[in-house]
Amino acid sequence: MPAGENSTADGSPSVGDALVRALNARDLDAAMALCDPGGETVLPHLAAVGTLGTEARAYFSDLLAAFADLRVTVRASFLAPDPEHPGGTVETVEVRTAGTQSADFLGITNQEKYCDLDQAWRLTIAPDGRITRLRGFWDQTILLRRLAVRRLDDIDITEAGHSVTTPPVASSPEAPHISAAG
Amino acid sequence: MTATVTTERSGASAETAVQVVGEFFDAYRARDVEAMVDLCDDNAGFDYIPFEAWGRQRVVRGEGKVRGVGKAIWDSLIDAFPNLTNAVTSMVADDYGNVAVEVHIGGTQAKPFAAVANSGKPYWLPHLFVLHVNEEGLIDNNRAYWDNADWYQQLDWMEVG
Repeated sequence: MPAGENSTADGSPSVGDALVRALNARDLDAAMALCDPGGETVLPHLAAVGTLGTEARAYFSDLLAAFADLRVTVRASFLAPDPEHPGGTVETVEVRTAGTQSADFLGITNQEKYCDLDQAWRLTIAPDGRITRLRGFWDQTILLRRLAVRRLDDIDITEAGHSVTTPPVASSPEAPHISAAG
Repeated sequence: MTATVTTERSGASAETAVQVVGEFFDAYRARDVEAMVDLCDDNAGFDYIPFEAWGRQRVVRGEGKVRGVGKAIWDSLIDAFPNLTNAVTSMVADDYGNVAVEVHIGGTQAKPFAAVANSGKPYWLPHLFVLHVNEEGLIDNNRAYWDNADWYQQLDWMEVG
């Protein structure tokens, strides 16, 4: 079994691995078939909690449309019992998404930049095997920097939770800059 | 490029791992960096994924050892946000020492931090920590994810880089 992959008791791929495989196959319907459409999602670019059937689907659809060569690689993952939902599990999946922008993405103008982004997905999985909650963790500033957007106020968050950007503003690439929290 | 990571297949029981990691965030809430470090193995790895320091010639990432870059980041963050606190909202663990923690961390800025000027403003930011606790009951790996865009906007800092 490749490092980072999980499998279930019967040896089949975990839900997280199945999601990654569906995205790498560019099969949005297969990815969404793993999800309860009424389940909730929390993603960094959204202004509010969304649903898997609407906001998560739109995110994955936009991701596949904007990165024609998208590759998602599992860096690490593990399964644990869900303490809040007996019989359920929580899968923590750390992935790297990589590809070259070929269309506007979340309102970010396409400048044909290569982008790789490390992120983590916390998947809450019901006993029936469907994802009921997807919380994504990644740094939007790294995404924006990779895609050559320089200022956060070039991005507006609309009520629908979709970002819109004005054309990127050039700034000095020599200026030291530090991103940090934690 | 961030180093490749692997999923650990040996380590503390879930019960022990949750206890140790709970103590770690208790120490963080008490702003006791020495206690945080004491809960970690001497050679514990540290990887703050969103941490990037862009210089003229190179990019420095928040990656290394707890007793090196990790301790330095924790000390400087607490110095800049002297009332820094946290609230753990979810913790899950397996029986190989792997632990994932959803936690909010926040405080009020009192000094500049890295490139971020002192706004005097508070922030409250969701994080995901992925830790591993070894068979000796010590944290031997500490990775974290958060969104700097959310953090910067709370501090009125608009530069992306």
